[in-house]
Amino acid sequence: MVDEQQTTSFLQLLEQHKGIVIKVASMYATGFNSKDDLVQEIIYQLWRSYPTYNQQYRFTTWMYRVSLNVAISFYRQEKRNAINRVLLPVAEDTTDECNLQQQEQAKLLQKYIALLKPLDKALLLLYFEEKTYKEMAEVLGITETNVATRLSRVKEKLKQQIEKEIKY
Amino acid sequence: MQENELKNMWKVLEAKLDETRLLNMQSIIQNVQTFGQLQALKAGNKMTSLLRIKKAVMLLGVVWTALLLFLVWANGFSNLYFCISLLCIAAVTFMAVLVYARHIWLISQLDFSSNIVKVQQKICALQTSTIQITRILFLQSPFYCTWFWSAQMIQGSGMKFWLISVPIALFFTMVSVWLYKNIRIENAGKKWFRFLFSGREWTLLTDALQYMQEVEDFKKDNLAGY
Repeated sequence: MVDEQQTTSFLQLLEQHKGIVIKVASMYATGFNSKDDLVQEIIYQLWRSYPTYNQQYRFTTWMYRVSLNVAISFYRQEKRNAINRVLLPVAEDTTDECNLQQQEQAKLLQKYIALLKPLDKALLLLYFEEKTYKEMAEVLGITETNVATRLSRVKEKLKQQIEKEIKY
Repeated sequence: MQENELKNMWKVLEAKLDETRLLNMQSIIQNVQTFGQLQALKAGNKMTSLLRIKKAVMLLGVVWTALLLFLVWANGFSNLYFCISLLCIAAVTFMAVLVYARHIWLISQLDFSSNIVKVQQKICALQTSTIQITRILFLQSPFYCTWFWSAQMIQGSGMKFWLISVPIALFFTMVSVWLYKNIRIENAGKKWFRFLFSGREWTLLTDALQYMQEVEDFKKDNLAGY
């Protein structure tokens, strides 16, 4: 169990890397309330797992593992109802014409990410977060070759879907 | 579409996150500042709720087993049919209780800091192993047809006993043994299996089975569907 001294260092690290929790929660939970629930769920599991944190891995790698595992384990089923919902709550900004096109494309990206299988979604998030193949392999538990092959297919599929929609 | 375009779209998406939502999520993290507040999160935690349900069902099983054993003790083996039936039901219920106890132990040992494939495989195995409990529980059904038998009843009812009660008990015995042998993941696609696991259980089970395949494909880099 985590003692109070460990809790202090944990809270400092959580504050530094809170963006990871928010991104994972935004990517996997579709409803507004479930996003907040997932954030709390992740914090609890991070705290619970903190004493077993192995310092040979980077803290962020460990944090991605726990956060993604919690999200996939408890919020995987939400995917079935997520098709017509937005992945991340985007604020509307219609002041800039040029940005409007970018926003539309970003929304398309959201839409097709929401349709991905939960493990592919994790892979893509790690890619967007500029993780190396080695780190992705460590988080996911597959080989670096598998990471490369799978990622290339997932990206290709996304690109095709978005291009198709833009054309129509 | 160029390689960087997806990343650029992602950056736009990140930049345009609804600030209110973002602030709300940030404030949840910032509000958790003490040991006590972290402990309080345990109460509403999904894993805690799951464990609570499993523990409650297990407790119910233990109470039911104890009640059956008490009835056998109270009867003092004066009616063998009654006592043997109840002992068999108690034994089967207790086996299910043991499977539940194993589930509780596995859930509490789940280490979310292991790699994703490993954790997800464990969760799939847990979800699909509910089949084990179902097939074990089916084994007790014939004894619900025999607990009220007695020597007097057999002598008094004559041919009716042999033509009605015995065939019913034999039918339930055959069905329960057949189900025990055949309720397996490999048979999940068959019609009788779907009929048996209709409704919510079936959806959860098929979802778990489908997901199990997804995890396996992901691990082996089976690119089916691409």
